[in-house]
Amino acid sequence: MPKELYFEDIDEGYEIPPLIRDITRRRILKYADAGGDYNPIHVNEEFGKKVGLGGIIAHGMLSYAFLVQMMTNWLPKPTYLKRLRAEFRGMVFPGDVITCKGRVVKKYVKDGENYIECEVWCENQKGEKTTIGTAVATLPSRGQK
Amino acid sequence: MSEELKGKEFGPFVYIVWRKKVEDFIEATGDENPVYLDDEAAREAGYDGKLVPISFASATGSVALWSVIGALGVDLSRLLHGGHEFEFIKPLRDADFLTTTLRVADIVDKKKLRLYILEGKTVNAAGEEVLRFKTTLIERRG
Repeated sequence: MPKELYFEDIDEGYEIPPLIRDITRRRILKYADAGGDYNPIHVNEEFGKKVGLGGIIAHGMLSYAFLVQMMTNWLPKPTYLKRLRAEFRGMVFPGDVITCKGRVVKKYVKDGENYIECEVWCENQKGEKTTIGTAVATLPSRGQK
Repeated sequence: MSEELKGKEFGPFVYIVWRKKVEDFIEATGDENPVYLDDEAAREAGYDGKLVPISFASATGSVALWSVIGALGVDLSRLLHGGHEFEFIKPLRDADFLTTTLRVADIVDKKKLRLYILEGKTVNAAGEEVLRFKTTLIERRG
């Protein structure tokens, strides 16, 4: 059954249910397979060491995908997510645990659609924000079909 | 010189959405929303069949991006992904035939970094726009 969540139920400051993901080498390699992004910094330990990263790092777009997932897990329909912008601030390494969080910062109506704007971010196990961004989604009104 | 690349357009690059890649992606991300896995669940949610994960958009642009990275002449050991933005216009579906075009919107030199800002869009076989994106690549210098 589709989840129920209406524009009227959400206030500025509302916290989006977090999403927690452990970063494993297998995840990173599977992500490389899915997207065909085999940049050696993501798949070759020796190369990662040589360029001073200490080993491989996760794709920034893996964190991006987690942020999208946090939003689409929460929204009644995944297609309510309209846009998501993210800045990759810190490296993510195998063994890290990433928690995606978000908060509604703005509600508005434009061209007859209900919009919410959310600040979203990823934190590692040390509480450092590795990715920060903004998501925009639509929500139905109560009584609207 | 890469400054000459400012404003240059690249593509079209073709990408076909293949369920096997979607499954790799779901395994990588754990994005197991029933509307991505099950036609019945998707129909209950008001779609005409299962969708490809919204976040899978990130997997469709690599070929285009890597071609541009090659043309920019960036040393891979100095390349970082600074940021990304998608506008999700229409959900992707299995076997979608996607065509991506992109342009170098700007090149910005900072003290020890050069930023390449790329903008583009992706259309499906019917010519409908499905995604718009903007991505920032960072080249560490010095």
